[in-house]
Amino acid sequence: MTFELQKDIKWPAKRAVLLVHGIGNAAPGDYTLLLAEVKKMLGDEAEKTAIYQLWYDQVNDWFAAKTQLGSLINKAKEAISGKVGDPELGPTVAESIGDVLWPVLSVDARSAAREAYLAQVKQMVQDGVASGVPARRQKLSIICHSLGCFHTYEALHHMAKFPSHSLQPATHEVVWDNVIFMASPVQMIRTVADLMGPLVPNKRWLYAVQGDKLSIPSETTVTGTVVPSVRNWVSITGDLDPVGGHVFKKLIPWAYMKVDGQVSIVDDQHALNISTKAELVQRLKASARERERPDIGPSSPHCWDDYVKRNVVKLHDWCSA
Amino acid sequence: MTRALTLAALMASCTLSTASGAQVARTGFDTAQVRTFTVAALLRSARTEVEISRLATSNPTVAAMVDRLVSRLDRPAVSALPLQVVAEAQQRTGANRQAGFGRIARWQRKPEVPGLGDGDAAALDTLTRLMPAELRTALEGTRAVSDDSVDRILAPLDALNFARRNISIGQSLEKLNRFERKYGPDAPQLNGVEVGLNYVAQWIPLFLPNSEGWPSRFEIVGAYVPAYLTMVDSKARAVTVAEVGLRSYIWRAGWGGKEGGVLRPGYLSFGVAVAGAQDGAFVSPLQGESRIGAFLGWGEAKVAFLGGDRKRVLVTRQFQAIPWVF
Repeated sequence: MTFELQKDIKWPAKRAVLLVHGIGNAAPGDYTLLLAEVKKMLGDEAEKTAIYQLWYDQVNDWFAAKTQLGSLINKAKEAISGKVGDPELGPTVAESIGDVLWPVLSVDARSAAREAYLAQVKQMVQDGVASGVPARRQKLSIICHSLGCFHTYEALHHMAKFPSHSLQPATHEVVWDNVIFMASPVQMIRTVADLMGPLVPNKRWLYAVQGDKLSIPSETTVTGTVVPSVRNWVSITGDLDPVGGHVFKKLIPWAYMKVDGQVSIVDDQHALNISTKAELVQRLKASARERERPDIGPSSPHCWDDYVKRNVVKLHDWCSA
Repeated sequence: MTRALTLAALMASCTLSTASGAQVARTGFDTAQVRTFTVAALLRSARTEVEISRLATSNPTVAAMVDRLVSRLDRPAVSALPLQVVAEAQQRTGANRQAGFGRIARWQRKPEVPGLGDGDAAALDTLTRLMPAELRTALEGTRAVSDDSVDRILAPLDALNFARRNISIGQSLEKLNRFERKYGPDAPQLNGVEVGLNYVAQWIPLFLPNSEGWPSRFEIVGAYVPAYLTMVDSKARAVTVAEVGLRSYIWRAGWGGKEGGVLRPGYLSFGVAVAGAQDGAFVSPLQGESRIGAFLGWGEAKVAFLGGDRKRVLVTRQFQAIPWVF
């Protein structure tokens, strides 16, 4: 068994955050910069927060190797990347499309990634209970990015529906204080899956296409009370990030995730990594001081670290409330 | 004052009594409690919640429901059951907590937990859904009860959920284990035809994971194999065979991969073998009067039998010479 859970973490207090990465080949040890940004964002609260990271790329790798479609998808990615033409944006769009293929077109890939997610969440809750914090007292947050948003959406709905995972909001008292989606492609996947119609197998268990619109998962109690799984459902995207439903500062309704009860934030993004005169002066000074070329260049609108940096105050308030 | 004393007495009764008798009350939840609590402790918790929250006055319907459930379960055969045993019995299956006909039939023949009939299981299930939702809300509406007190009262329920979640983690890892056997580095690769066939097979329930996410053990085999070997007049000869059939993965522990080796492989395959009229490598299986037989694979090792005028016993090994082709 090569899938390993992050486990037996002694919770320092009642808080835990799960970071769910998005596209690309991420493995334990990656995203150290992101982790540093998240700790910086939490400030003093970081010491009181158990931080978990979910790695599920090996599941995608199994399917690529088994079907030998990996090279085919890579070629498609290269072609798409070239078509987009933008050195930062092209690979991002291409990676998204490639990685989205597995969970949409392969039921087994979808189920395996979801199971990996659920296993990690169960372990996280269990670690909290073992640290003396019953589920009802746990302050749980998820910060997910890109394709991680899709897996989060699917996993949250599944855990609310199926009692066998012992993660329901009413029966098992597992309620998420915050679920923060950054550059979510969930609506885009819903639209694409709808367009593909009968080509998408087993839509019954693809929650992103269920119902009239996307929704916050919930459980109905014995007496009919509806208990939502999430207290604070947040969508943060950038106005230059196509994965999050924006192209050239314009919202694309068919690709932008909108859920009733959602807190929506759209970051003002810039094509360059400098947005103010003060920043420019600061970088030029730093360049002169360190005798290196000035750090001026294109910025990736899809970068996870930057989403955290831009929203540090709000994230801190939510995750430490 | 009287109410505070009642509260203290009720809390003590629900947290101190376990299967092993008296136990020191602890602040917060202790995982060691998982193995000591019984159904009786759970019933006492429910009664305590009803008493303290004065539910009979505020919500008589729910209070009556709890009373009915507790009365049903409060018999020695049920109340003495350790919660760990209850957790290990999968009382609920599938979506919307609907048990299938097969499962109900099995319950009627032989309860999964001795002493706990299907009606009892359903009652316990409903009670454990009421306790953290309606009852806890009512309890927390009572100003006299602190969070710590609520946690102590609900400790048996936490123990049950802890045990259930532990079992569920094991099940998730086993599901991933099976997915890895089917798709991981030791699994046979699919050719282009098989990728297409298995994509289409996703509309057939036999090939789909079930609603709980357990993978199907089956996948479709559809291969052109030019490298079967047979012996004719003591001389080795290649035979080309088209295979159509199923591959079935073996989930048993110790089977598959390096651990299982040749004797205990991770999968077997079987189906129809078709060869052309002539032996030889890279011969069309439809050439002349086709010979039809069967093949059986035991892991990578495969044997086939061809009928017709030129009967053959063939052997080969599962491999792909050219990715995506054969």
